[in-house]
Amino acid sequence: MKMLCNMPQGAAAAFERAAGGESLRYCVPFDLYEDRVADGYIACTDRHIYKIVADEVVKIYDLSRMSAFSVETMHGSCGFYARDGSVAVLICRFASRRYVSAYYKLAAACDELAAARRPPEFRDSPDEYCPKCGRQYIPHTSICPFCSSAGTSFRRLWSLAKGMRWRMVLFPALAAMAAVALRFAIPAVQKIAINRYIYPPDGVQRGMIDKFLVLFAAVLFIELAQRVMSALCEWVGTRTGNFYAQRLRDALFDKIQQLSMASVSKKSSGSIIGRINRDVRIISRFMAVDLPHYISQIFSFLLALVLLLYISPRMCLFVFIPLPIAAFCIFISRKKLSALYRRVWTLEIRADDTLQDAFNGIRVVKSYGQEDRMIDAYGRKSETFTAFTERSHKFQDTVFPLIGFIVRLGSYFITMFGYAWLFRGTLDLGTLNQFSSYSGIIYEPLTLVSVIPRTIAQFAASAAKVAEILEEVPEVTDSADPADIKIKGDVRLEHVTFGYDSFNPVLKDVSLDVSAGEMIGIVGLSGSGKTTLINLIMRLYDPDSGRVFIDGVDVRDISQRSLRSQMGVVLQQTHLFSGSVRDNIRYAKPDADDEQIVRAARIANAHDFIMRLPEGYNTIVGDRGYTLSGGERQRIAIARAVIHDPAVLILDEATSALDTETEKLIQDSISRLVAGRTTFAIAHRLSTLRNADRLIVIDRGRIAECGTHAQLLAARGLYYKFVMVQYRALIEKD
Amino acid sequence: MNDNNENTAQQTDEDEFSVRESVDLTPDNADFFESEGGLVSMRLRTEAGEEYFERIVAVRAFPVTDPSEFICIRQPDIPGQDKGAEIGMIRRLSDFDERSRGLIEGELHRRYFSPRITSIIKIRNKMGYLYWDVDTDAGKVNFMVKDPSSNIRILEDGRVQVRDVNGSCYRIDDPKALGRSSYKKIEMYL
Repeated sequence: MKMLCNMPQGAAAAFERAAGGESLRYCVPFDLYEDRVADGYIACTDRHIYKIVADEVVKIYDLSRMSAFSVETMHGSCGFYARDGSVAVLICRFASRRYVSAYYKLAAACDELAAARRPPEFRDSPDEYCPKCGRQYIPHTSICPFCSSAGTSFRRLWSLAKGMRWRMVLFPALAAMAAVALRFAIPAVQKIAINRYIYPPDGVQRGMIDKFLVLFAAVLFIELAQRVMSALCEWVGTRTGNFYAQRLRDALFDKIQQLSMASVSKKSSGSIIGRINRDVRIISRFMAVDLPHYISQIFSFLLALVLLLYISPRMCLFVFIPLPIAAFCIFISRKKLSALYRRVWTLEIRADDTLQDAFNGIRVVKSYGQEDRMIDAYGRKSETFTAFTERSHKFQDTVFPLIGFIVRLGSYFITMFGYAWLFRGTLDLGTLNQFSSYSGIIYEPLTLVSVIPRTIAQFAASAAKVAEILEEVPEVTDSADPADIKIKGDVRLEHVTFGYDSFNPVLKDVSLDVSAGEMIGIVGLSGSGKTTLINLIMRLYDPDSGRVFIDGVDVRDISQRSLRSQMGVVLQQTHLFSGSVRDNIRYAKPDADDEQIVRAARIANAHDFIMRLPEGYNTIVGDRGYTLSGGERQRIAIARAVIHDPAVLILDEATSALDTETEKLIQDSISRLVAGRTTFAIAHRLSTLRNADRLIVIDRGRIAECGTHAQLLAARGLYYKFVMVQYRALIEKD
Repeated sequence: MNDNNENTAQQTDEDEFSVRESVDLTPDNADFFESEGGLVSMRLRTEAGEEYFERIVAVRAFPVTDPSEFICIRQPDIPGQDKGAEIGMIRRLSDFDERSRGLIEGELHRRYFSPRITSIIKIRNKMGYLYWDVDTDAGKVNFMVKDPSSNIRILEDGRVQVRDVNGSCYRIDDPKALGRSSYKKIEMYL
């Protein structure tokens, strides 16, 4: 979005008239005025704000009297508010989220202008709107579904098929064409057999039977060859289809691993898994099976057409009479059918959602005795779904036979007139047989007409979803020449500002200097930016401004692999991968030997409970395995970090979910782990941080206080308050 | 700045973690009037004394099912500093006189911009994204809906909510009442 957009002539003229010689600094559109959709502009000079609607200036604000500019996102629209003197005013409203970031910037700039300071410089952020049609791109990509056709998606996916294109589409298509050609040969041979040997014009003669047998064998051979070709085509298609699917799945998985946490967590994991599996199946099927099939069918249609015209142009008439009627019927019913299919699909999803919900929440359903209600809710949805499925089937079962009948009408005519001509002697039996066989073939691709648009639409939808992931630009990328360094553990932040939405900073101008081996406790209310700070140190995100250094090197110049491989994390909730305890402990260092594993488990106070598991270190844990308690999981996570031996250790609420007893146990193992490493620990329970060398208190995105426990208590600031609140709570409990 | 009441200011200074107590707002303790800037101001009388709010924000607790009951009156957020605190709640908007009601409804109207679709001109399905061209009571709009099965929501009373990629919401009170040609265009997504 540009901060200085071009106004249309009328609006520009209105601005000129009102502003005189003032130069325009910012100009941002808005689209709501008095509850109606409108074309409006906020034009901002160094002294005034002009509100322009329908080529007229409707309001002028004097910047020198204004303050507290803000953007409020409301339900369905946003407002740009400010204070005029002591009065709150609504400068403009807009419905399109497209303008949000521009207004946030404008608010920041106006605050500066109003105070007669220099406004900040803004880079125009890339506009996420299609320059061709003005419609929105899929977020984080430059794909405009409206402008891209199935063709563009196809080209995109086609490029992935590098090195296997020939095998995937061309070979199956050629094989299918060959099969088609062979199919056409059979009636031609039959014609010779009939005309020369079965009903020979001069009567049956001796020796004919041998020649007939040769022809018979030829038919058999051609038939066989045709089947082999078809099988070959199927076989290659399936094989390369699978191969391509694998390639596509790998590409998607690779990409998902690269994408930022935010973008992945936005897409729910269920939808990602569903996407990868379903869409990849549809796409690879289309590329390797459907497409060659369509190509061969088109070829078959054209070949039949040419042959029919060659054999008997007048009989072609009968073939083509029902054709437009059938095409018309297909066209009419296609729309209705696709609407019905769509409806059935929607209803099925709605019913499925209810089912899934009931299953996932089965504990809640049962404990509140709501089974009957769930049965009811599902029953109702499933009923409508069934009703519509039936309706769509009824329609299908009426329309398709009807179309089939119309199409076949041509064959009836051919047979009827064919026999008439046969009796009159203007046509021979062999030709008639050949002709009716070909006319059967020509109708086959016709039935596809009703299927092709749906397959293509389905392919396009899947291709778009896949492309959406493949083309998403990762927020964090390695620089051109990233360095692999051995990290000592000095961490420095210089004037770091960062927000998940660039217009809404979570951390503001944070500077921090940590030397190797120090343990830093991070304290603050939830939402104050503690985890964000850690995300920046780990470089899960890049700061909007300012820099993060590790051992004096900008993290952007360190390869992500080298950086993360030397950082260890213990989170509030530990994810255990499906596998044994042993695999989970050595997750970050797969080549660790068993001795190291046991030593790490001992350090983490985990050895004891692991030995009590049925199969010790080989016990399978994770989603489908043995269920471990929260404390046990945490200790495995700590053992994981011990074996990883990171230079920088991050503990994000590592013990918050545990009871005090377990915490003490884990605290013990943590203090062993922390020794000698740079550690950042976030904790709500302040007692957890008693070992920290320094504590920093983050308040609304800024470092409010920094010092040792004793220093901060003496300062009687925020930290003191936190401590007092927790202390009081403890006393009251007892 | 005379806008913020001194009472709250003092409280914040005293204890960082205390929260403003929300009161039940009735015509007896709350007066609403139009502010100079065209927004809504309010005067609140409590046992502790009188408070004046230059600008208030009205938020519905049940925007879908009970749009004119349980209306929360809050102070506006101060960007980068504070989330506006709740001043109180109006149980029933109909308890207030017409003038106050009009003001609050106006404020609600500003906050909840959800155009009512009056007719559907076209719905195009492009690669799984739906492009809607519709006529609404706020004028002609077009928008894009992703993942129709989860962003087209049918409420229990038959109303339909359509949420576009930006989170904007459009409503249809009775899809069948839109007329045959409009209904046919959305039928398959319901």
